[in-house]
Amino acid sequence: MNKYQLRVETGVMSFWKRYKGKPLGMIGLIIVIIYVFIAIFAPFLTPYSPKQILLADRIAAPLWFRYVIPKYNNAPQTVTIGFDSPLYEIKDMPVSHIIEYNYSAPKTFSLTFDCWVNAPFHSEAGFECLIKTPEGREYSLWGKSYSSDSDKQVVRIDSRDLGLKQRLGLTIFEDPASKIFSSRGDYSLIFRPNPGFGDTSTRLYISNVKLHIPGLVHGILGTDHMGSDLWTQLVYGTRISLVIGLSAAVISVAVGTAIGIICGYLGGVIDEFIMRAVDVFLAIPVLPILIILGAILGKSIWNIVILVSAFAWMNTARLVRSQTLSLRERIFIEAAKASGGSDIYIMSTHILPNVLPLVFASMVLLIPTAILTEASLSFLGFGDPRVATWGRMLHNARGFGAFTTLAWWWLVPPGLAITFLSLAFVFIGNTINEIFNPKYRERL
Amino acid sequence: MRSKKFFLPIAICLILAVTYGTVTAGQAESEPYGPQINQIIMPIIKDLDAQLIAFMRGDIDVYPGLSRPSDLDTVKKNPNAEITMNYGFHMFYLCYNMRRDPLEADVFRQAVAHVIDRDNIIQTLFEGYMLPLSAFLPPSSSYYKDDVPSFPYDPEKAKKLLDEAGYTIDSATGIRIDPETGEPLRKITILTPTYEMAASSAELGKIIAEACQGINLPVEPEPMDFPVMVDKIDLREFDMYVLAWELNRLPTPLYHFFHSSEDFEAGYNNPGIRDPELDKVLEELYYAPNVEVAKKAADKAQVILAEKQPYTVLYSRPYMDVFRKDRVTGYVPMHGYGAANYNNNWTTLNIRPSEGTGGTIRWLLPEEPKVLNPCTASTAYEWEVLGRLYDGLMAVHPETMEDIPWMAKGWEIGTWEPEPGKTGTVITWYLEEGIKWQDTTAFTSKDIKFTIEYLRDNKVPNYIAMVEDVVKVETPNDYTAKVYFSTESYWHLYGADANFLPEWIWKDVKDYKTFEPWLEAHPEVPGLTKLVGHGPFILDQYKVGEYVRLKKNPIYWKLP
Amino acid sequence: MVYSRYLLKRLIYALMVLFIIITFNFIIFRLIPGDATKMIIDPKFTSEAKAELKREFGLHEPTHVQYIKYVGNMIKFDLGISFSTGRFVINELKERLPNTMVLFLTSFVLTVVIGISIGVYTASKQGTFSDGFVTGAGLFTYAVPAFWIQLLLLMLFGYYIPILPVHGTISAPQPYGLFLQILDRVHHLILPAGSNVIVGFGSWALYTRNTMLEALDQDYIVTAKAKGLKENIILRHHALRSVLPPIITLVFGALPGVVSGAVITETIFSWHGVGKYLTDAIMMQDYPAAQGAFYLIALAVVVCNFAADIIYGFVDPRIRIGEGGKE
Repeated sequence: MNKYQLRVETGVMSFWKRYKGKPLGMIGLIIVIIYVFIAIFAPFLTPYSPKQILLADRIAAPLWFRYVIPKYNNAPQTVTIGFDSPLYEIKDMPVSHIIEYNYSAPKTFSLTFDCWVNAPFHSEAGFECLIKTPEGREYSLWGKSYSSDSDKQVVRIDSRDLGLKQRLGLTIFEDPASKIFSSRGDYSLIFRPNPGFGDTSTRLYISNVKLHIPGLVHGILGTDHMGSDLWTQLVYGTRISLVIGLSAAVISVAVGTAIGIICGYLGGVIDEFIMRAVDVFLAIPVLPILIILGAILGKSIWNIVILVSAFAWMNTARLVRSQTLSLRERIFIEAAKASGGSDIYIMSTHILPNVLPLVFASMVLLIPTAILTEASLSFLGFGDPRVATWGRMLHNARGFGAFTTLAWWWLVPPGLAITFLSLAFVFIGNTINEIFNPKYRERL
Repeated sequence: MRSKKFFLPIAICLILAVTYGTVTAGQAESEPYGPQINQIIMPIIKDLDAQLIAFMRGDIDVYPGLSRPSDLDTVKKNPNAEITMNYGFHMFYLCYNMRRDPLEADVFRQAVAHVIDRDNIIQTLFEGYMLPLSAFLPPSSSYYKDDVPSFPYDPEKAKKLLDEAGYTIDSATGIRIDPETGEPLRKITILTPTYEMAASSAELGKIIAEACQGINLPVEPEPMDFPVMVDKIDLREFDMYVLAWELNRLPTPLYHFFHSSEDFEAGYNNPGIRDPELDKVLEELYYAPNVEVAKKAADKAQVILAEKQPYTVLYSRPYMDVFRKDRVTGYVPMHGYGAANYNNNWTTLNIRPSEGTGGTIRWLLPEEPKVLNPCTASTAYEWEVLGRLYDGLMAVHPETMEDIPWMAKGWEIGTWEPEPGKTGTVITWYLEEGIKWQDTTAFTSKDIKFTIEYLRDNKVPNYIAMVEDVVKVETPNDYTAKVYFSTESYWHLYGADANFLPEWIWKDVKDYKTFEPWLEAHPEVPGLTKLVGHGPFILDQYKVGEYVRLKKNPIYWKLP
Repeated sequence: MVYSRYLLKRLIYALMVLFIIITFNFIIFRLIPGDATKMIIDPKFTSEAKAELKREFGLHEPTHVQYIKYVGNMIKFDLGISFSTGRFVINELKERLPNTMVLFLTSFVLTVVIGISIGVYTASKQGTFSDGFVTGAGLFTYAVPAFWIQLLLLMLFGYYIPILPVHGTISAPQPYGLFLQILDRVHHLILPAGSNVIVGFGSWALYTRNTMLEALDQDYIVTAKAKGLKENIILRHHALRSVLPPIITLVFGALPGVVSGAVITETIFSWHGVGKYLTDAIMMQDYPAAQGAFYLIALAVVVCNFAADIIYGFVDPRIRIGEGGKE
C-alpha cells in the first residue's frame, strides 16, 4: 500500500517538473486559470446581472467602437438625467432646464415625471411640456388642461408611442427621437402654462423628472436584442461552461474507467456484453438523441450534464479496457492474485493507479467535447432556458437579428470564448499524454 | 411558430388602420377585377433574417407579416419599401385560474389588472407597434366594445383595493395576507413560453410579475416549453399564464372561452369562469337569430367580462405588410386582415406590376404549407396558398367589413320546423351563373350540397362545428341551394359557406385525411393536379421546402 | 469461408443494434410529457373530435399492443402519420431525404478526400510549416464549435457580402435546363458544404499524416527505402496501403458524428432536410415525425457501419485468414 502511495506522490512531483517544461501545456493551464478566475469573480467583473434588460438600446455596439470605428465616433451613450430640484411649481412663468446632448441622434428616448395640480374650482388652465432644440425648434411632448385639483399622476412619455408621433405630426413609421435630438448642443426641457389661457392661481407641481436616452453604444461588448449586457452574459456563461465541462467529463470518465477495468479484468460474458453495448452507444448519433432525451427529461443544466456523460464514456471504457488487458498479464498482478488478493482489491489498488495517467488525460480531453455539446444544444434552443450560456448567446444572435443588423460583435465573442477554453484543455490533455503516454501523442 | 395552433385560422369594424400607402380600400371596388398577374412565386423562407435579407436584396416583392418590430429599422432603409399597418384579430391576454384561491377573488384580479402598464410594455417590447387592448374582442371585430369598465394602470388604486379587501401587508415577510386564512399569500406563478420560443411573452411575464411584487403580491414568472405549458393549462394546473388568440370577425369565441359548459379538462374555458348571468348572455349570443340580437348580447357579455376580469386582455398585434412599391402596386389595405393576407382577396385580385400588365410577383411564404388538402389544412400558411385557389360565396367589403355577394349573388336567412315546436335556420344561396372549376366543370349548387354533406358525414374536425347541425341540403336548381339547420343561429350563415370540394374528384376519395390532392395529376386536364378550385389562381408547382408557384386561372369568372 | 462467417456475425450484430434502437425509440417517445391531442387547442375541435383523433393515432391501446404493432410498422417502413400535418411521415421524409443526402455526401466526401490528401501530402513534405498547418487544422476541428464557424461564414457571405444564398437548396423558381439547375444547386451548396469541409478536414489530415509517419518508420518501409525505391512510390504503394484499413474504419466510425453535425448545419442554413425535420418535430411535439426521423438517421448509421465492416473485412488481410479482425 505505502509503496504505491509513495509512487503516486513522487509521481506528482516529477510530473509537475516535466509539465513545467512544456510551453503549450503551460499556456493551456494559464488560460484555464484565467477562465476559472472569471467564473469565480463574475459579479466583480461586471456591474450588471445577465438577466437585466434595457440597459441601452437593443443591439447596441460596444462602447469602444467610438474610438476605433469612425461611424461610431459620436454614437450616443446611455443618458439618464434626473433633475436636481425635487419639485417645480409652475404658475405663470415657464420652468426650463438645460440638457447638454453631445452625441449623434438616438433611436428612442423617454421622459417620466410626477405631476399634480392645485386649481380653483371651475377654473380652466392648461400646461404643456416641450423640448427646445439648439436651433430653437420646439417639440411639444405633453399637454393637459385642468379645471379642478388632480391627484398625483405619473406621466410617461416615450418616443415610440404612436400617440406622441401623432401629436408631433409624424407618421407612425417616423422616429421622434432622431428628429428631436438631431444636433449636438444645449437642449432645454420646458414646462409652461399655455399662453393666454388659464387662471393665474392655478399651480402645476412637477417632481421626479427623469429623461432617459438609451445609448447605441454600451459596455465592453454591446447589448443584445433586449438591451441586456453581452459582456455580462459572456462572463456568467463561463461558469456554466466550466461546470458542465468539468462535471460531465468527470462523470463520464469515472463511469468509463470503472467499466473498462471491470471488462478488461474479468473478461468473459460481461466483457462481451458491455463491449457490444459500447458499440451500440457509439452507433447512436449523439446530438439527435440528446435533443430527444432533453425534451423528455426537462431542460436543466444537470440533465444536460448527465446526458452528455451518458454518451461520452465509451471511448474511455475501450481505452481502459485494452490497457487493463495488457496489465492483467503483468507479473505483479499475477503475484497479487497468487497471494490471494480479491478481485476488487486488485482492480482498485493495482490496476486503477496504473491506468490513471491515461484516464486523466482522456478526462481533460473530454472537457472540450462536453462544452461543445452543451453549446450546440443551447444553440439549437434545447439548453437550459434559465441560464445564460455561450450557446444561448449564439442562439439569440441567430434568432433575434444579429445577422440583419450585421452585429458581428454579438456573434464573435461567445465562439472565441468556447474556442480558447477548448484549446486550453486540449493543450493540457496533450501535454499530459506526452508525459505519461508518449504513444498517444498528437492523437486528438 | 407552434403557437399558431393556438390561433384560429378562420376569419368586422374599423377602429384603427393606418396605411402608409397610396391605395385606399375604396378603390378596390371600382377597379376591374383580376387577377392582374400571370403568376405568383411564393418562396418559402422560415428564417427571419433570411426573409429580411431576401426583401432587401429584392428577391421578394411582397413581405407579409413583419414579425419583429426591430426589423422596421432595416426595412425603412429601402426607399422602395412601402409599409402598411392594419389592426387585426389578434388578442394577447393574461388568464387567471379562477378555480384557485386567491385568484377566485374579483378584487385580486382587478388589482393585478391595475398594475399592468400596457403602454410601457408595448413601447419597450414592441417598439410601440401594438394596440393596447382591454376589451374582450379584437379591435377589428364589429362586435368590439371599448366603453366597458376598465382597469387602467394605477398601482396606487391597486394597493387601495387590496387594502380595503383585507389583504394587509405582513410586516415580517412584506407579503400581503390572505384575509381568509390570516397567513401570507402563497407563491403565485405566471406560466410563460420560454425565451427561445417567444422572447417577448417571456419578458412580459417577468414584467407583470415584477409589477405585482411592487404591490406586495408574491408573483413569479415561470417560463416553460410550450407543450408542457399547454398541458398544464388543460389540466388546470396553473395560477396565471400569458398567451395569444388569433380570432375572427365573429363574436362566437366569447361563448367558447367563457361559457360554463366549456369548463372541463382541456375545454376552452381556461379561467374556469362560471357565471349564470354570463352564461345566459353567451347563449343568446351563440344562438342569435340575427345580427341585432347578437350585437346586444355581445355588448352585454363584454361588460360582464370586463368587470369579472377572467382574462386581463393586454394588446393586439397589427399586420405589418411590406411591399416593393417600385415593382408592385394595386394592393389593398384592409381592416382585420392587412394588405397581404389570403382573406383579403381584393389584394389577390388587384395586385399588379408597377409597370405594364401580367408578369410575376414574388410573395414571401414564411412557413412550409405542408398540407394542401382543404379538409385537413389548419395553419394560416396553408391557407395562404389554398385561399387563392378557392373563392367564397360571400366576400367581405374592404371598407365596411360587411358581407357582400360574391359567388352567391344573394342569400336569404329563414326558419323552418325541424321537429314540431322547434325552430331551425334555413339558408338559401342564389349562385352566379357561369362559374367554372379550374378544370372547366361547372360550379353548381350540387357542389355545395356535396361539400357540406361530405364534411358533416366524415366529421372533418376542422369543419364539424360549423356543419354538424345541418339536417339536409336541397338543390331546387343548379343555381339555388337551401341548407337546413336543426338549430337557429345567425352564425350558420358562415357554416354553410364552405364550397371547395368538386364532387367528381372527392366522391372517390377513400380517406380524406391521407389524400394528397396536390400530388396527384388531374386525370383529364394536363398541367392540373387534383387540387382543383374555382379561385383566381391555379397551383402550378409546389417544391417542398423551397417555393410554391401559382398561375393565373384563365377561366376565372371575375376576369374582366 | 472465414470472411462469410465474419460477415454473418456483423449482420446479426447490426440487426441487434437496429432492434435496440427501435425499442429505445418506442420507449422514449412514450415518456414525453403531454400528448399529441393536447396541442390542438382550437374551439373548432370538440372534445369528441379530440377523442377521435386519439383513437386514430392508436394512443388508446395498451402499451404492449402498441409496441408489437410499432416494431412491425418500423420493419415495413410504416412510420405513422404526423400529428402536425396529418400526412404519412414516410412521405414527408422522402421529400427531405434527397436534400440531406446531397448535402451530407458532398460535404463528407469533400472533407475526407481533402483531409486525407493534405495528410498524405504533408507526410511526404515534413517541415515546420506543414507540421504546424496540419496540427493547427486538427486543433481547429477539435476545439472550435463548428456551428459558430458556419454562423460566421453565413454572416460574411450571406449578409456582409451578400453573394451566396442564405437558405434553401434551390432558387425560387428553379431555373430551366439541367445545366442551370445543377449550377443553381451548387450555388446553394457552397456555404453549407464548404463550411462543413472547412471545419472538418483538419482531423482527417492530422490523423492521416500521423498514421503515415508511423508506417514510414516501420521495418518494411525502411527496407524499401534501403532498396532505393523512390520516396513517393514508397508513400503510395506501401505506406498508404498500410494505413488505409484504419482510415476506412475511421471514415465510417465518424458517421454518427457527421449526422449530428448535419442537424445543426441544416438548421443554420434552413436546409430542407431530415435533420431539420427532426428538430422541428421535437419542438412541435410531433412524436411520429420525430420517431421517424430518428429511426431513419439511426438506420443510416447502422447500414454505414455494416458497410464499413464489409469493406474492412475486405481490406484487412487478418480477417480473411481468420485472426478475428477488429475485435
